[in-house]
Amino acid sequence: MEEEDEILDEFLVECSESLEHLDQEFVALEEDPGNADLLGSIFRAVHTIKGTCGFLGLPKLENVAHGTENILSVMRDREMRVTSDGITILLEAVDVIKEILAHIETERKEPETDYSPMRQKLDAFLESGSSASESKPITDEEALRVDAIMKDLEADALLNKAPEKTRTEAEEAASETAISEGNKDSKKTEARADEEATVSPVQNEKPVSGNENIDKKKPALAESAIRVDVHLLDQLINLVGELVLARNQLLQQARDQDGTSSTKAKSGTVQQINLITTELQDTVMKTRMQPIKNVWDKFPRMIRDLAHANGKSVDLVMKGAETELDKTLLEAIKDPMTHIIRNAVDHGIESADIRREQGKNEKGTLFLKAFHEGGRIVIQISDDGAGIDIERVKIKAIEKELITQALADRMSEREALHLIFHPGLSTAKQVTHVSGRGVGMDVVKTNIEKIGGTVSMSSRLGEGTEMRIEIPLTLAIIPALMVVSGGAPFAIPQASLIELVLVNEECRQQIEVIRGAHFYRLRGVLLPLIYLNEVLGLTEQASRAGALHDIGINIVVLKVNEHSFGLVVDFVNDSEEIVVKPVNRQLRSLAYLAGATILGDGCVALILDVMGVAEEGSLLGGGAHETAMSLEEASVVETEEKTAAFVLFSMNGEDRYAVSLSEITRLEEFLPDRVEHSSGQEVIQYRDDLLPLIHIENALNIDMSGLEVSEHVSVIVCTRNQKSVGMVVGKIMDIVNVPLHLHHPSGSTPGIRGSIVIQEKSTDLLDVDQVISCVIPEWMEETFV
Amino acid sequence: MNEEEMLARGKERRAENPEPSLETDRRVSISDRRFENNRQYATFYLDDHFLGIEIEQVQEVFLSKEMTSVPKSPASVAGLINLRGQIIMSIDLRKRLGFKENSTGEAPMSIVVRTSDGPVNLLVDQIGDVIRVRPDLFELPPKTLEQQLGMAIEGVYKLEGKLLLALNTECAVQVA
Repeated sequence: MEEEDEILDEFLVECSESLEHLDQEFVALEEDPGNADLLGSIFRAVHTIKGTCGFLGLPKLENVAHGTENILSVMRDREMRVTSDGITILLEAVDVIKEILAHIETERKEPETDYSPMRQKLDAFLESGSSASESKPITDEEALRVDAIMKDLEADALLNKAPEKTRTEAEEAASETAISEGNKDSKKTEARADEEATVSPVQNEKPVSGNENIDKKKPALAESAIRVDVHLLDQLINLVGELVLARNQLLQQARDQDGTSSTKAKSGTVQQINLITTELQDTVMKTRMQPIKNVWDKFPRMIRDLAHANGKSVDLVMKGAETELDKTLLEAIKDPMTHIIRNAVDHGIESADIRREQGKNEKGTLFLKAFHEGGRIVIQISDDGAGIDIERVKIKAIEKELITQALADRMSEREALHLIFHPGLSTAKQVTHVSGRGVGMDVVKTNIEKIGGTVSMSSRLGEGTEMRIEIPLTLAIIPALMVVSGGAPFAIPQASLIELVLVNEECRQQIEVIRGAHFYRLRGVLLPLIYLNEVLGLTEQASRAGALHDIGINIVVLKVNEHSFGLVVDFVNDSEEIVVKPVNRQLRSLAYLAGATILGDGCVALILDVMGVAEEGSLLGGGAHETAMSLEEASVVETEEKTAAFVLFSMNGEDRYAVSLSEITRLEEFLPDRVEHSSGQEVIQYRDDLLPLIHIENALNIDMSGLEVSEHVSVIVCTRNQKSVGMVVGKIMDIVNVPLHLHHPSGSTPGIRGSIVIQEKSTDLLDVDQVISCVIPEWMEETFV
Repeated sequence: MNEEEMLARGKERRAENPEPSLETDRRVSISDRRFENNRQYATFYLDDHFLGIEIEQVQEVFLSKEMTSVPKSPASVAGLINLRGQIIMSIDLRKRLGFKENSTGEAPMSIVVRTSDGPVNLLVDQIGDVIRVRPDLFELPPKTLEQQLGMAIEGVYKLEGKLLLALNTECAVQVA
């Protein structure tokens, strides 16, 4: 019984492998109906499934597979043409086969459903097809290829005569070769076809030369690859992790004892062990790595079906399919990617008619690109479709009360675009059966963030959309910041880390208290503070008072869901690559705990779940994050009680103006000779770009005659929508924190919000955007370039 | 503490409580065949109580090592330890079963048990011997037993001059 189960399992694994390839091979065949090799490969796969299920006693599966094989066989014999209809019906049959296999996998038996209609459909098609089509003359070259396949099949037939038990094994080998052949070939060709090649993957698979190619590869491949249980690999990785720890301790000991003669010889051995361990670690990690191709392979079929259903025509271009990443990660990005691609085909790419009207190529193109960047894997999914109408996103978001009109007006293009990730927002004009129900993008985002990745997007109306997914190389090892709080070590995943701030005694007053809640003024914005030791109820209460005296307060600025907060810890240590280990199931209910890791000295450190810590500190869910928002707004909008940071400057030496610190980007001083002219505009070379300089005195009606000639040009740099301008001012005087008591002017001057009293002198508060708009009217428009 | 010290310590303990183990061992050796179905228990002490865990469930025993405490976890969770690269939860069995805290100041011993949830480390006072017990000495937990303790044991073996509380490990490792 057990043995039978084992055979069945093997059969299932083998089938799922060949079926994966079948889908794309069919799609490729549709593009290139004359490709005899492709047809042969498909035929072999189906033939193997049919043969094996006969042996295992799976009559329904055999029946459908047999019908499929019959059609393939006449197609192969050139008695029937490969048509789109034919492919569709064959794909349908493959789906049925998949369905049956899935049922067998869970229930260990065939489903009750009657599949004979499918068989009848296949047979009917075979009947109509073969009689209607005329056989096509076969060229010499093609004849040769077909010949090769026939030989191959003869070999198969020979194998079939072998005793039953060995037959499965032999067939398995044969089918494996059939599958891997594709892999090898595509790898070879990839080198050449890599650059921007239209990867309907199977196009890569064209053998270099027909005949010997197939025969030669068979033995080598069967011998060079084996199947290994993933759990075994996991165990191996664990053990290697242990070895690395032991190696580190050994190295430490060797260093401590250095100098004595007896250790000289030993240190050589230690070095050797060191090297071997490192290499072993690398190699073992590689065993879990798989090319992203494994996930991408299912997309050609999916896109074909989607495009067909919507009357669109879409080309898929894949680049970097050989990029490898951890198997678990690969699984994790599968669904998000599928969703994004569906969206792109369903909403992104327009129908052929509309594309023609807009002067685009009738065929839409979808690009998939994967590459390494800075220790992470970047996956780009872009289309040349309609793009996203940002205004419509905003309107929709306001309609659904996700944002206010005021907020919408102030939002940058990027911010508005990212509203797409908000749960419950869908801009699809029409809900289709595949996507557009308003769930989805938020799920994509959460799923990718779960594995320590990020998603971002950019879009141009009418030109297309690009999604960018960044994920770590492997899940098991993540970079983390090591901190100490209440005497215990903690690891904070680097992904949510924004910056580190050390507040020393002098700046103590920058920490504000409102009803027991602490805030830190970080560049004019109030940052809510959470004391880690208090949140976790750690016994050592030293940090708030004690640590302050010696070294100040360590604030780790973290970001969750667009909201920042400061986590106060006792000490900040190095950033380290840590191995994430699971904790007992019973501890998983602790929101702040993401897992645990083993430090170099063998101790266990807890890994913090940043979102959980924020929840424990009642930052999220409650009113806290709203406060963070409204406080930020308070520094801009006129409120009575709050204080805000202002930059004080003068234009002609006599007058005083202020701008809110949160509205500007930087303060700069340039030498006058650096000012250049470009198309009638004063510009300055600034951070590898040209910064346009504007003069605001005319807009504000300021008499500049009293200005002393200074040796520097003082400039206030403002950035909106990723574009910057520099406002030339007379002299920058100070940065102050004052209560925002705004006196509204009687006769309002454009560009002036009102006056405030700063340092006992009346000061005009500038409305930066309005002032700049006076000089550059298109300043606030998003199209401003 | 090195291995020798540990052995020495084990011997000391045995000298302190020589009676039950030697006696039961002898009985087993005489009537080995007759009691083939007898269960084997790894025994340990909590306060002045004598408890046992079925030997099949015990993975290993060692002198407890440094632990990382887990804030906000249930009181009986003593912390996490690193056992050859695996992170394992430790349960203070005294707290879990409602005994008062250990006042002797002696470092506890660790018994790692296999559970459906993976290995869990139980902290106990002292380790006893492995003994065989006859099934006919078994009795379900008396109803009058404190619930916290009564729920976590399978029953009681009435040994001569002593009771052996048979721990239900699956239940004992549930901390919440």
